[in-house]
Amino acid sequence: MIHLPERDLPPRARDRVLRRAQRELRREVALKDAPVTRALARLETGTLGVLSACMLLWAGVVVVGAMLA
Amino acid sequence: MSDDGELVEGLRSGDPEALDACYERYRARLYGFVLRLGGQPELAEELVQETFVRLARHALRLRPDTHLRGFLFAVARNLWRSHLRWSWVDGTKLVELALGPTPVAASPHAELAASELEARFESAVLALPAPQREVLLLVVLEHLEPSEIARLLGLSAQAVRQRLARARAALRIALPDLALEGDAA
Repeated sequence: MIHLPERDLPPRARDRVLRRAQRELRREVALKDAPVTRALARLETGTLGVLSACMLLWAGVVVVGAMLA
Repeated sequence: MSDDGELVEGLRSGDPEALDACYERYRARLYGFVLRLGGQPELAEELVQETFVRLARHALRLRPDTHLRGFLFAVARNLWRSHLRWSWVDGTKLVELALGPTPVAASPHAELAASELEARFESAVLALPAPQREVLLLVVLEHLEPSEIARLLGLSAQAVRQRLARARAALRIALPDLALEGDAA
């Protein structure tokens, strides 16, 4: 099979592309380390499920209450 | 960082050096792939950038057994496919398509080094239908097996072999003096 020569990004683009990707990685790391994200990560899926159910129940009570009032 | 497994570990922990190393290892390979898929240097540049941005966004959520090369080439190929789809609804892109792909730009050094056969091969590859082109490029550039390509592109191995056979047949007609891998078998 024929060998195709390597092509690379133009030199002017190389740093720019890497800087952009590094910025994105830093953003992801910062987001992961944010207190809210950490607190959410500590909650188990089950806990989140129970919390969601409670909120739905509460919303239901509010709606029904408003209709009856 | 010696292998992709270590790079994945580094990326999962958010290590910027792992991203640097990954970029060094795959930058040119991805660029060569998307450049030859679309034949447009500016588009290839944009797609390589978006591929690494996507990698950075998913870095912390990569699974430990992620096949890094497969991940990167699949993202690059999907981005290119997505660009193709959108180009049908973008009037300016329609003009580009009507004019056909611009020739692959090579550095002066590469132009000197490239033989006439290579140049003819590049043109013939660019003239192949997109599904055949992407499969052929993964064989020529990355030496991937049909089963690996199938996994990467979400196709059956049979479909990959079929596309490869059609691509080879088209190239044999375009370049009768070229020996293709697998011809001897």
